[in-house]
Amino acid sequence: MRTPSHAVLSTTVPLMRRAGPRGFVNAVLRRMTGWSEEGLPLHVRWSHPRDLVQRWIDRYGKNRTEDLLAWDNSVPDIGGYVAGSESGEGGPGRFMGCYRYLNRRGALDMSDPGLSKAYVQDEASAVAGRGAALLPGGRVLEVGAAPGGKTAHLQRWSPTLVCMDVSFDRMGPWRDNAGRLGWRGCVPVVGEGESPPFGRPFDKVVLDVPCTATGVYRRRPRARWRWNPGALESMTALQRDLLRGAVDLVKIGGYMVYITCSLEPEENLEQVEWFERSFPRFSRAAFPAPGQLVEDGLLDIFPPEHGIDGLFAACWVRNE
Amino acid sequence: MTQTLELNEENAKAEIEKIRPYLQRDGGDIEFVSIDDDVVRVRLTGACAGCAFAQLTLQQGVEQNLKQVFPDLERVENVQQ
Repeated sequence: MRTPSHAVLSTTVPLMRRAGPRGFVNAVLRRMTGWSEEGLPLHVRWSHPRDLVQRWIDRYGKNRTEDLLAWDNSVPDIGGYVAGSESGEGGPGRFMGCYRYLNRRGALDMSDPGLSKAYVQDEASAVAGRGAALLPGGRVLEVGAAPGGKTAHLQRWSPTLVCMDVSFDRMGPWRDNAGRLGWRGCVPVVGEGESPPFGRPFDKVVLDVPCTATGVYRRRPRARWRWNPGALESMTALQRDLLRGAVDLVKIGGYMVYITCSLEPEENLEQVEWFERSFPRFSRAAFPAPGQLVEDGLLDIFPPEHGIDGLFAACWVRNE
Repeated sequence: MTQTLELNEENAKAEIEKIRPYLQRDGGDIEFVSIDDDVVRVRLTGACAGCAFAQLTLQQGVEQNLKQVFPDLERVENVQQ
């Protein structure tokens, strides 16, 4: 039963007004509803896969896990990175002055000169995109570019930006965004990141990799039901293939950036440690983001504590 | 290869003018304040003022760009309003 206790009481008891033992029904319902919700296991109460909740409890403890589950079930903000800032809509971002939280009530006036150039995304995506964009490099490759959330930032600071994703279908929304937002200097490419079709290295390669998306369940409520250990394993294998595919495309002195929207260590810190063991010619650099979001040079966002979606990012410079 | 220049007020102002459009497109702005020794002082305004990314933008965006033109540049500092 997902109906909240207060709704059960406020709907049922008044029905007894004209007939029946109203006081008795009221007492029974109050006794029943008093224990039901609080006593439920967390995965039932917050509607998440049981084994995922258990792994979060093992990592975060019960209280932080419940905070995360409640976050996942909350109504997400709507906001966007606004090119030009003169829109009167909404309030500024928690971390970015050029981000706007938009008013959820009523329809947005997209003819507003600010909003017409807005890329709607969570502020965490904007933080990751802006951080990746600020790292030096004029000739840039973005892998996993569709639908364009990171491109929106990279294209502002990169004179040449090659944006690649795995299929024409995926690049369709990217092309729509490129047209609407007037992205210039971007070259869209369809290709596989495991074996990218380029012969000349780049100043910077940005990998926005596929992942289990456990950091963004608030915005993708159905994604939680795709969680299983097999999916995690196949994602981590693909992420390593993408990292391997990109290492020779970074020129000496250039940067590699790795971004996920996962909270799982297998896709984040463990991938970082694997990469640094496997490719010692790369050394970790501090990801450019506000200090409270960065630990050991890694962007590491925990949604209930930072108030934005859970993204992770690492960057390295190639030394030889 | 970027042409290098002598670090003086005139050249610094000219180079900052080239960076301004990047910040203006995000609703921010930058203005030259002074040069003391090899430190360029600027003021970030608009959406950049008070933004947690302002210092990062200054170091990663502005300072890196200016250092390519002015090899003698030590750092760029933001002067609070």
